[in-house]
Amino acid sequence: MVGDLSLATTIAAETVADAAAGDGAALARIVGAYHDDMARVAFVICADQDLAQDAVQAAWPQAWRKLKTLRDPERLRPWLVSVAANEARQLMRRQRRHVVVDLAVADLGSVRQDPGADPAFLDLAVALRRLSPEDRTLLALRYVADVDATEIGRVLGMSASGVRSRLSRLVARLRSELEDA
Amino acid sequence: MPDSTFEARLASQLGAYAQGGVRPIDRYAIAEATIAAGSRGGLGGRLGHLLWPSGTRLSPRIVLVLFALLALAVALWIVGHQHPGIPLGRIAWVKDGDVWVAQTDGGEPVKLIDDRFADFPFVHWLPDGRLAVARRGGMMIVDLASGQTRDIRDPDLNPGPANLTQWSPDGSTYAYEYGGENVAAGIRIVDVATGERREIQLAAIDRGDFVANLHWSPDGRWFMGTRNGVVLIDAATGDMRQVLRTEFTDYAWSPDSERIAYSAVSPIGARRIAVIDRQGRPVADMAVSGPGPEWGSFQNLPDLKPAWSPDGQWIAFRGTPGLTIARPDGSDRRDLVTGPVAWFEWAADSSGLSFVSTASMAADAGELDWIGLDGRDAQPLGPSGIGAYDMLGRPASRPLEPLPSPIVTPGGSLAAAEPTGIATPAPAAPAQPGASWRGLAFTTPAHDGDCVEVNVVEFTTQTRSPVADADCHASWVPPLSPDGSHVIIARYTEQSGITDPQILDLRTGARTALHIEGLVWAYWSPLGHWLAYGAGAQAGVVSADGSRHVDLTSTPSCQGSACGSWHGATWSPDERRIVVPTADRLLVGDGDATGLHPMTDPSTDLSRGYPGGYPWESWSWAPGGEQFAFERDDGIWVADAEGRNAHLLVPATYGGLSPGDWAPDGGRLLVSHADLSGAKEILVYDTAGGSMRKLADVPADDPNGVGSGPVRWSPDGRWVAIPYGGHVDLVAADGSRTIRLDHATSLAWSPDGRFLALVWGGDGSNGRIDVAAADGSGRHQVIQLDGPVIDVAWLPKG
Repeated sequence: MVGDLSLATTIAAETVADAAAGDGAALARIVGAYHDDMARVAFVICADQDLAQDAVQAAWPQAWRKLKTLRDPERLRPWLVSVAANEARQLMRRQRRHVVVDLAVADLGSVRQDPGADPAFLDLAVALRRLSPEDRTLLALRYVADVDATEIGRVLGMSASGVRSRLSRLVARLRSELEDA
Repeated sequence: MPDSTFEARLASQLGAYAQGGVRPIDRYAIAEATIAAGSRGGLGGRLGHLLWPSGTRLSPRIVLVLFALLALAVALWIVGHQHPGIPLGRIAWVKDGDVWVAQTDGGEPVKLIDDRFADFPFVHWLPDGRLAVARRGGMMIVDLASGQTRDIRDPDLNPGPANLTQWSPDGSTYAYEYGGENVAAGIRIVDVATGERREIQLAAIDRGDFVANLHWSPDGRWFMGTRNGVVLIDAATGDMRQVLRTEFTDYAWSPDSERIAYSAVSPIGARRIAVIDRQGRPVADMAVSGPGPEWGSFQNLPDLKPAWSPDGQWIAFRGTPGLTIARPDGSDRRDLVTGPVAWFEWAADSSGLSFVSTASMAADAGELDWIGLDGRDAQPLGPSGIGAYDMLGRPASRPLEPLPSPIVTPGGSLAAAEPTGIATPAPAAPAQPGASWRGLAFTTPAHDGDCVEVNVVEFTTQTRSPVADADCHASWVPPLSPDGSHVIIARYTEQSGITDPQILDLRTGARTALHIEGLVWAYWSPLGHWLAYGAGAQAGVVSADGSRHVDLTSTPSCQGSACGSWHGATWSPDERRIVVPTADRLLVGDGDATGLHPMTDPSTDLSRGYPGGYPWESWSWAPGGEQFAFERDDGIWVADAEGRNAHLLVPATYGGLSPGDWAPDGGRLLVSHADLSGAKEILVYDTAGGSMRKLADVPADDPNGVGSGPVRWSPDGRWVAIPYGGHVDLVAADGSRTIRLDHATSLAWSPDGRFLALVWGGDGSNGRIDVAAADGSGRHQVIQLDGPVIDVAWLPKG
């Protein structure tokens, strides 16, 4: 069960190879297909549109440099959103040094939905704020990007069962907070 | 992944919320920028990213200029010569935020300080041979001979991109200018030995104004600075007078502190080197040929960079292009190099100069060369080493692989580790754990990964047998106890969730019903005597034999909603102490969950590093349960079990240090540090000696990688197992040895520390479990499976 995603988009292996070789048009096709997914994941982690864009901006060159080593183009999408998630997570860690980002609530105006139309939406933003970037990464990868537990484990250095366990706890926590709100 | 009404709603709401991150994009522009940034290499992209605050953009040109400034942080110091003209000694330089040291011929390169998040570190050799590293927030003094380092915490120190820190000639003090809108201008002088700070007020400067580019005179009596020209400041009194009112670009004291050489560019682009005495009276004036700056362009504005020879007999300066020397009175001018020169430095005996030659002024890469005063003896320094120099920090001729010795960690301590190579285990007779251990319990996925199946393989038969009659166990409940004696079994269906949870004693076959409705998660205590769980709104602990059951959410200290099912208990490694995190504080008590009370010591408000956030995400108990380590943005802290007496254990000049497991002896702590790319360093910190050494680098973002697993100590504390990339590196805790075990994705030590169980399931289909001796020798297969292995534990006999 996932949110609004471009799951149907597929990129041919030749396009990936061309992009890795420096074909700008091929890379543009990949950007067009997956940039929004990366931005969504980064936004859930950063809860700030500018930071999310910075994270995705930093993720693309990193991903492109390693694109030629990607053996399985089927993994392109989860891998790209994972790279963006890692960038967002690292960005949040660095950001923490200097200023505690006022998450989510202040940014609701940038969300396309009208938060006033759904009080639960505001509650979700507040609940997310209480989570660590790592936990927000878990939620974003699983429920926004539909990345499976094994893939998430690769990103976060956890076992698949550890990912499932932590997700279950997170869901339990959010259920308690959102249903009590 | 189980579905439910709440999960479906959560996914839907998260998806809608995430739309807030989507902006209209020009995919072609992003692709073009990606290829351009990616082609420049890692540093450009990363530095550019670091330099771009949220919502702002700097032009690539400015970023390139900053790159050049970073590259100009190269500091060369030559302390002797092997034969006439060839300097020996050491060279220090900064690359990508890291500090490197090598012989001047490029040999023995060592990454001295690994600090990718550092804000423009600068290096400076002190007269006694120690290396000073100025970074934001402090100065580090490194004695390469003894391996000793010292940190001088100086919160106001910020070298910035142009190193504004000045050293006294004897290396006993450093100085920098301060001032601003609300602070009167002055010069702060810091004593290296004592850390004592002294300030010189610049009374002649209005508040909000400042003096820039301080240069300390070699005799220590004066500062030269820039303010509407060049000013001279008495280092004792702060009295200031103007000695030059012309436009200039750079300047340098003569060794006797009597004269000042400066470079200047006229409004029409004419360039010259001039010398004045300390009173500002002209001594010499030399025109410099070559093109002037292009208006509006940074590219053709290399500083002439006048530099006195140590004996005061020569002034060297760059041309556009070229490298020239002349006597201080302007006579005996010699053009030593005609091509572009990115950097140069005098030899200590004034016999010549080392310099970086580049193919063009805009070139990324160059070579470190040497030339004598007569223009002869020109030769590259170390063609196989850092003779290749890269303005963007990329070695051009061969990679500068970091050596593990010596390494100064972000915490500022130095460990003299021996070089560690990767070895494979020596052939040995198959390890025979069967005399001490019955076999292994392991779990495999079932029903498309929604469930797990628990199995046992006996060492005697090497056959697989399921241990429970349940068809499907919840996959998110790690079922095996650490000692392999118990397993959680339960049934799971999409309709009913987890039902009928029980603890099964694998030794006796006895089952203990848990009587927990709506179990969501569970995990074992470190020794397997307890189980923590969450169920509905309830969280609790239950003993492995089912005899004790404590509902944590009903304890008085929890006070209602502060405790919830997401808050699991955490035991100290010996299970004597327990901590229960709540929404806003920690409860601490005995291992059986009695005596719970909040940590309330206000003097150690451990959550202050994370206002409004997540104070307890990363922490680690010491084995005895007397203290625990936790992460804050300024490093790793340690507090006692009551949350009192918190102190900084491992300072960090950046975030990203996380505490890992304590060694069984309690004297060492694993520390991980993730860099910008997500790659990790695994370090071990000696809590007694205060030193830290790096054990391994764990790469990130490998698109085909098997991933990394938890880093663990061996039970005897001699080894650290680091799983990543489809192999496990067994690294000796003293850093002396690394053994690579291929085809292994995770590892389980036998509790007696004598054997390893190695799991291979990296390709997702063909699981295999091997056993080996503790050093990886004698490895042999126990069982081959047609599916992956999730978890493994040792089964005791009896």
